[in-house]
Amino acid sequence: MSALLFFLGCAGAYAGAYVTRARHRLPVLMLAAAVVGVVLVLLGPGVEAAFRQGIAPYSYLLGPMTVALAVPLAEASEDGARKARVGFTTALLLVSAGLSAASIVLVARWLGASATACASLAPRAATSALSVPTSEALAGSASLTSVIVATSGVLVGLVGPGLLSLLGVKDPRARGLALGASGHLVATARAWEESREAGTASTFALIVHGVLTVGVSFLLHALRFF
Amino acid sequence: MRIIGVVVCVGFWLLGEAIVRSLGSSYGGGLVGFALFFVTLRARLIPLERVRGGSGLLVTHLAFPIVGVTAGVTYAARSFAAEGVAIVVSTLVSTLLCLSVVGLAAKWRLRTETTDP
Repeated sequence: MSALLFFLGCAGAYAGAYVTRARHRLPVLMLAAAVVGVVLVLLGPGVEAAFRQGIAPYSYLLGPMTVALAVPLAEASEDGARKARVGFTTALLLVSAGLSAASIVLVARWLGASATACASLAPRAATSALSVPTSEALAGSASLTSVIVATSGVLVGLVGPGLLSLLGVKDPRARGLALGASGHLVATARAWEESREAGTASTFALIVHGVLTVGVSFLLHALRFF
Repeated sequence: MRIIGVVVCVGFWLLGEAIVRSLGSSYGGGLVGFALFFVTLRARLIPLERVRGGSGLLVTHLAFPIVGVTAGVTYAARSFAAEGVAIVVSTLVSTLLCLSVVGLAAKWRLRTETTDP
């Protein structure tokens, strides 16, 4: 099986899921990846080398896309400086990033996970554009990191709003911060559905929490947590 | 207008790559480019309006380059099958802890702000 077919197949799966998103209402990434994943299962392990070769060029797109996140962050930080106490919010997100990375590594280690798995899990609380290169830099598995990030995003997108309501968190800014910090892009999209205020707070949290998580992941690695 | 934003993002990424390579780092230049671009925007050296369209296009399709990597978990799952419980439990604990802590702390802070004179 040619690497070019895998390259085109991934693009086609994404395009199909994106164009029909209004009909299926599923996260585009999850649907497209599920389609490609099913094809890979059907083809068996013999095509792994061609598949890896086929998806390699996509890694070059991650760089400019990571850079592009600076624009919403700059916009959100300008808004936040007026409307909220950015110092408190950033401190809260730093604590949260530390808790997220430390808890996932400690629980995973306690349950017997390898150092490679821990390195893949540590940046879970950052969006894929940040967590995947971080995982690779820490000698983790980019594939495992990507799926854990996507899965936790879907989990928060589905149960997050209900859980926050159970906890009595009604302020849209608080809900947006919690959704963006814990559920990345999927939960941020959900926050935008709730209100503009929640969406703005979620975008701010998505990016600031992601950047802080990268820093915390490297710190934990330097401190030999994994 | 969108093309300008895309070209600027690619330019900062290449600059970031050049910096990390000159430092001999194995880390991707995307984050260095991101940091440089953010500082540049905050310093108003590049007007936000000029790059908003191109950046919006890239951010909208953030999931595009990671479809293959995500599907690649089919192979990763085999390698990590023995650690499945550890991975699932730790992910659940970390995700729900993060959601609850941020939600409750922000709720407390915003309520304090409202009730303070």
